[in-house]
Formats: sequence, C-alpha cells, structure tokens
Amino acid sequence: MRFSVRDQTIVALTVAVQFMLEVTLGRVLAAPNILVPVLVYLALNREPRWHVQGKAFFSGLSLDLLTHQPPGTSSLSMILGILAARRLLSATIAAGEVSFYLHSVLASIFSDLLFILLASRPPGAYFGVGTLLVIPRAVAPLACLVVVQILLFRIRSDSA
Amino acid sequence: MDPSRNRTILYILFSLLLLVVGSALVSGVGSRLGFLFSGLFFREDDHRDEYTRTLILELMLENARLREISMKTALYRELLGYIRLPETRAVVARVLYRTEGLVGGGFVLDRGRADQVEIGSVCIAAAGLVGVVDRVEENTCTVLPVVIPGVLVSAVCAESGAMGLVSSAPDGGLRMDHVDMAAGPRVGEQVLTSRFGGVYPDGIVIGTVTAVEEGSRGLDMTLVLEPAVDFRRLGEVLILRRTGAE
Repeated sequence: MRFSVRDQTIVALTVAVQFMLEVTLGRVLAAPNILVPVLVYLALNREPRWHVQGKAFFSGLSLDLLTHQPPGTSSLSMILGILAARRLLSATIAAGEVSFYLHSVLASIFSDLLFILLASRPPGAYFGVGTLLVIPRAVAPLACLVVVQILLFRIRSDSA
Repeated sequence: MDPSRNRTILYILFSLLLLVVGSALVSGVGSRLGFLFSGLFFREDDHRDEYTRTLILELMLENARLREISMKTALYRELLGYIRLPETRAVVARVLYRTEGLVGGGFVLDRGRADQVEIGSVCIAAAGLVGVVDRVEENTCTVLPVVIPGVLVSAVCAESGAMGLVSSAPDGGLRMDHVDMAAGPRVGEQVLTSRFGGVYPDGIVIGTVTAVEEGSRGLDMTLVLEPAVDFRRLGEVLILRRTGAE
C-alpha cells in the first residue's frame, strides 16, 4: 500500500462534492453518486490489487457523519458494493475504459442498494419504486463523463 | 492468506462494528455537542426568550385544541365537548438538522431523555402531524416523519368517516390505503389520526385528500393526500408526552 497525498485529496474533495450534491440535488430528485466511480477509478488505475478499502471506509464514514446517517453504513455498502462488482466482472475481459464504466455502474448500484437496506428503519423499509433512483444516481455522472470525453475529443480533433 | 483479503475483511468488520455501536457513540457525543452549539444559533440567555417559548407552546396547544374542537363540532354536533387531548402534556422542540442522502428525512430535535421524551412520543406542528420519535438521546431525539417509508398511521377522513392506513407515497407525499369503497371519501376533505392505531391520539390533522383512486386489488380505494405539514420548513414542533393511558 502506498500513501498518496494527491489521491487522498481527490477522495476528500469528492466527499465534499458528494455531500453538496446530496443536500442540493438529493432533495430535489437524486444526487449523482460520484464517490464510488472515483474509488473505482483509483482502484483500477492507482492502487495495486484494488487496495481502496481504506479510502472507501474513511470516505464513507465522513459522508455518513456529514449527512447524519448511521455511521458505517456508507463504508460497508461501498466496500461490499465495489467488491461485488469486482467479483462479478472479474471473469470478463474488457478494455480499460469499458471496464471502468461497467465497474462503476455496478459498484454504484450495489452500494446504493446495500445502503438502502442498511440505513432505512426498519431495515429495507425504503425499498419500493423510489429504489429505481439508484439507476440515474449511478448512470448520470458517467454519462456526464462520456459527454465531456466526446467534447474533448472533438475539440482536439478540430484543433489538430 | 492474501493481505488484500485480510484488509477487506478488517474494514468490513470495522464498518459492522461502527454500524452496531457507532450510532450510540456518535449520537451520544453529537447529542451533547448539538445541544451546546445550538446556543450559537438560538440564543437562550434572555428570560424573554423563555417567556416567548412558553407562550408559543401554549398557543400551539390551544391551536391544536381549537382545531380538534372545530373538527368534532362539524362531525358530531351532539357530542360537543368530546375532546381527546385531555391529559396530554407537551414540550416545545426545535429542529436541529435533518438526515440527508438516499435514505433521509429524519429530524433531529433539541429535546431528549432529559425532557422526558420517550420513543413513540408523537410530534406535531401547528399545521398537523409531523411523526413519531424513533430514537432518544440525553438531549436530542430523532423523529421519523410520516412521509418516509416504514411509518404507518391509522387514519380517518373527517367528513365521510372512511378509515384506512396512511403511509408514504413514492413522490414524497402521502397515501391512504385500504379505504372502504362504500365510505365515499371525497377530494378536499381532511384526514385525521384515528384512535385505533394505539400510537397517535385521534383528531390530529394528517393532510387533505387530493385524489381518490381505485386500490390495487380493485376491492378498496386509495386516497392521495397532501401533507398538512410543510416538512421542508419545519422550525418548532411539539412533542406530546403522555401522562397516562387514554
């Protein structure tokens, strides 16, 4: 394991942005889940052998404390969600980019479902039609990323 | 064993431990801190504040009584004086914050065990029913509002007398299920708590009927309700303390 100030800063900033999204867009409809994709990105590109459990634990704990959720809920759901997505896709052979998107979407959905199960009182009471919101939560940030990547590609193509 | 696997198991165990005991630890400390720091936002150094709060409490209680009297008068003219908030004592509380995120909506209030608030105490605002106390710390308590899943309220329509079970709707509002088709509920009538649930005192306004739909099985009806309380703008509420069995 290596300690990278840059990675820690990225995670801390992502937690802050996630919190702001939760208290703004989250109140209107659903806040996009950007923390899980960032952790998946770090797991795929920066960390050896998916060593993001520590970051997932501490970022989840910070987010729980900020949003007044039962502490440990986000940590556990993100660790298990990322682990489940990794296990599910471990047999697939995909290009780096596609792998990142697939891992992110699956990990976000798994994490959110686990979060709903653990955080609602009584456990699981929040499952219902509203549970479908986990899909836009998982897809929206990645869709934005794709759009940005396409735009950047076009700008570079035009300038070349 | 693979060190990565060990670390994963370790962090999962940490998370589980936090889930089990973390709430008590954090909310114990947070309860005290919240109580101390609430002074930054709400000044309590002036006796006039205390007097104003007492006045608000009395007015809110009076408002609740008058509302109830109004309902009962319209419903049962021959039973005037049949009031059902007789032995209720209340404590006024402020909303400190609310939980956010995918599973959110709970309100943390600045009253707790020290103010004799108990789990199951009913929380109301001037407009109507807010919810029920779900967790109590020394100086704070958490209220589950009626608009979140998992909270069910036995209810009755004020005019038609149709009875049913109020729960949260997917759009964040309320719905009343299992309503008898023969009861003839109407759009616009108010829905009140009924005494049959055993948790809420009867006669507290829950909301207003905005639509009447056929139930999922076609044998009953579902009413769509507009909550009486604006949960986005809750400031001060009352927690009803029961002094004796009704």
